Amino acid sequence: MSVYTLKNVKKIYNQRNVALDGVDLKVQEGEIMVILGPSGSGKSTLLNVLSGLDYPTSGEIYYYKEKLNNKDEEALAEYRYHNLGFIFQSYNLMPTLTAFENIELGKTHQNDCDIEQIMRKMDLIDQKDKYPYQLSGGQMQRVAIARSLIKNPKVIFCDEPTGALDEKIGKIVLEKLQNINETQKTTIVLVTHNPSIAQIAHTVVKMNSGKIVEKYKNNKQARASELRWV
Amino acid sequence: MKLLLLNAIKGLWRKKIQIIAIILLLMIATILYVASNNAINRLEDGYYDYLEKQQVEHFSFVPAMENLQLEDLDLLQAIALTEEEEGIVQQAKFCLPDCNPQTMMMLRSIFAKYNLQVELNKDEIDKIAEKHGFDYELTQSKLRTDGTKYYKAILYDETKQINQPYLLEGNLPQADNDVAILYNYAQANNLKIGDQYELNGEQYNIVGTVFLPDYVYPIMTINTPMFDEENNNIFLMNEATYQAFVGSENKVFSARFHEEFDLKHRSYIEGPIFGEDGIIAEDEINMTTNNFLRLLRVDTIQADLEPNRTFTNAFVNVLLGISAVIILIVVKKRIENEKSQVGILKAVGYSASSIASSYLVYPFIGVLFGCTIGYFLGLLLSEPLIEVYVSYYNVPLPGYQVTLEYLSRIFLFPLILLSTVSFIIAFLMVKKPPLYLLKEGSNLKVNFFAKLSNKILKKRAFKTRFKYSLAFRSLGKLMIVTIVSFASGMLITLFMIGSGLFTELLDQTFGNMKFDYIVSYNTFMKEEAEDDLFLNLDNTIVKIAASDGSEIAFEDEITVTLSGLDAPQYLKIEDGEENDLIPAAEENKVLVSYRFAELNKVGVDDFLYFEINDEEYKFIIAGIYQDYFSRMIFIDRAYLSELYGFEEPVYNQKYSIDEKYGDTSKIEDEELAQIEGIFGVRELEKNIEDEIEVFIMLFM
Ligand SMILES: Nc1ncnc2c1ncn2[C@@H]1O[C@H](COP(=O)(O)OP(=O)(O)OP(=O)(O)O)[C@@H](O)[C@H]1O
Ligand SMILES: [Mg+2]
Repeated sequence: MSVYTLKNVKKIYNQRNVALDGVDLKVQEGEIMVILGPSGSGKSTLLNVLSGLDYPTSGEIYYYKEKLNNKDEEALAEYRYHNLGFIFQSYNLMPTLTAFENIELGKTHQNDCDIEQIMRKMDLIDQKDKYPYQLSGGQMQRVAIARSLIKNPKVIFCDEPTGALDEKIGKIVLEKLQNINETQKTTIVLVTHNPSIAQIAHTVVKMNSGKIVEKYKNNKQARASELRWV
Repeated sequence: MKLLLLNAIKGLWRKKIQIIAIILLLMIATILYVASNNAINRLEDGYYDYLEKQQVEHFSFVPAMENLQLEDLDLLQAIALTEEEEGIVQQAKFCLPDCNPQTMMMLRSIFAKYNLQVELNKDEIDKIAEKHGFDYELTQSKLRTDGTKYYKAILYDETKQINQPYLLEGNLPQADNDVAILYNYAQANNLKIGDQYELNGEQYNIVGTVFLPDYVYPIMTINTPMFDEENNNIFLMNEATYQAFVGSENKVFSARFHEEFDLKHRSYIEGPIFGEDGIIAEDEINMTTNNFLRLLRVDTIQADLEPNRTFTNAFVNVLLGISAVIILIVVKKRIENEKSQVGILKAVGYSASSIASSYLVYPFIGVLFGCTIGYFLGLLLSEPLIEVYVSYYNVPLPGYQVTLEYLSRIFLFPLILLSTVSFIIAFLMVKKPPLYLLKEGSNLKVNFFAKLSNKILKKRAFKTRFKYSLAFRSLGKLMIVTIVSFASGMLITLFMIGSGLFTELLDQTFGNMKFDYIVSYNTFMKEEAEDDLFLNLDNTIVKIAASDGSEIAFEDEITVTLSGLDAPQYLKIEDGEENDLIPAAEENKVLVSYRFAELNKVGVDDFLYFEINDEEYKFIIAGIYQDYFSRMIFIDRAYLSELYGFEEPVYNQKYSIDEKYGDTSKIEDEELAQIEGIFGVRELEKNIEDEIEVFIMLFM
């Protein structure tokens, strides 16, 4: 079943900057989709439109059967609140809260998710009471992942999650995402300009100038730890 | 939500200086508010209770003498009249009640001289009292002064209901030569109960100390506006002792309404039964100037408390305003710093209002700590404040009490104000879309006031909107300017006092008054004297005409004082070019003030018409003197006396430099009995200087 269905989606900024130029796309449940493309090709725009952080200029977007593109801001917030997690290149942790508290901040609604268990999964348990300024970049990104996982979202959107990390740390972060996908069947949409990350994807989408130029299934997925980093 | 709050609380520490500033400001505001209001309210409660318990008078009066009747002459039989007075009474016997105005005037002055007004119109007063529901009682007092000290004897009678003395120690006087005196006077002069007290050769035994409800602020005369507890004394004494006391006597009726009378909002001018000019509606009882003195004696405390309260409350609001601005800046800075984090929270679906609410921690913490500490310190501080007030007034000290009265005002008001400000600013910033918040370098600047003004002025024209939003934008600047100008205003005042500018101003004002006393008589005097003599008579203008004879329209009933003068030595009457105008006032040529001329559009050579003894007289304006306030019309005294039917020039006022008028014991008894009042110019000048000194002491 497809989580997202996009039909001829266009995003034009200021009536001239065409960021998305008629995108048709389906995102399947439980898959890792990696969106590749050069800078300025419209990857982030696509992700924002999918996640309801931004409105498309025209076209249709469905979340399962639910049409997203004519919902108001409040309804979109509600939809994100219940279903989505976000990971960005910058970690955006609250500087005044500990790692544990930052993760807890992501817990928007009551569920049985155990923070300590997630921290253990993310190898963060020793960092529990540290403040963001006491953590490394990779640790901070893992806190951010844990924060988005804590509410057990259906979909996690990642915009350049490893952008600020070196190869070794980047691989660890990807490995954690891969684990979540496998154990929790969480759909992951990951945007990157690093082609090597495509090896962990089920589906790879290549973009250029706001258009999808290539889309293919990857039948031989690699483990994140075994990636050849370019 | 819990974590959002935690985040806001933990963030407090990062802005500790600002938070401490907010707490301090709120604390100071609360201390000021609680201390002053608690002191003022308690004092006020005590004060009104006291006035009620001691049955203070609501007003005082003496009957008018408009309708003297033949029977009224009986009152004069028991009195040893002078030969001349006897002559007038004989004359009156034949013409009352319709004697000519001059005889009536002379007759009235005889009644006034012997304090007989209170005996007149008994039945009418009773009727009016019944109609309006008040009781009245005769109050008799005699005043003496030796120049520095004032002694007032009041006839005490235990049957009296109104203005009951409040006994502090000892007893009220019963035996001859027993006196009860003012508590503050006793304190200031080290007098104790049992002490002997000598005055004018008479020995008095002090048997008690008292407060008097109609002398809360015990000044004696209108020209001693500073209360001086060391020099103003009041003696309560029995009838025999009172009769033996020598001083200028005053008899008035003190009155109290049966019904509750709102003391707080009492106004002598617009009370329930008084007309606009302070005359009781029936026109049969005139209010006396005594009511003005009474206003000072009883209500000064109220007049003092109200501005104090208003000032502190306004100041408190300024402090609250400053805290609101600080809190606004703190919240704004905090959110700017956490912009991208807030963006993530919004991306995952937290609502703007829940994020904004978490910043309410700042006002809550500020109010909780600032106002609580301030409240208790304020209560503590109100005690010495009350002492200050009470030492200044003669009222019993209300007992200590803790009031919860201001809790809502001091906690709720700042809380609501600061919370609203914090929430609005936080909400305006946080409600931006998440992507905007997440974007590096995006600008969160919200000009709260400019936005608000835009909202309010939405429907106005663009020009107005633009103007107002500019104005609001500079609101912060405006506040600073206000504070600075307030402070500099204080400084300038202090500077003026310090550099003697005020003294110079005083010198200028009093320098032109070359006399020391204005002596007013209750009768028409003939004996010529060295001093400047005036015959002052009120009259109403009936017609005004231009020099060509054409009439000039004017408002009806311009009452002026026709002031007859000779060639005064102590008073200058000059026009704008400093030309002496006095020689011009001869026969029917008069001098009017600049103000009068301007108001009635008259000039030199125009005519004023008056009615005197049923005949119309025409006066010619011969000069316009430089005085902006006066309603005096100066005229030759001999001429004016003649017009009013006197055989020789008379006077009822005197400007004098004779020192005897500063010490009533030096005035011959016969003259003292004819004196209605003495206004000591130097004394007033000294009093004003004293007030300025007190002001300087307060601020330096
Ligand atoms: N808010 C905006 N206003 C105007 N133009 C925008 C805005 N956001 C993006 N664009 C434009 O849209 C196009 C696509 O931008 P997008 O951020 O999606 O690229 P990207 O593929 O994510 O690039 P990168 O790899 O550098 O992140 C670019 O040309 C960009 O300049
Ligand atoms: Mg991008």
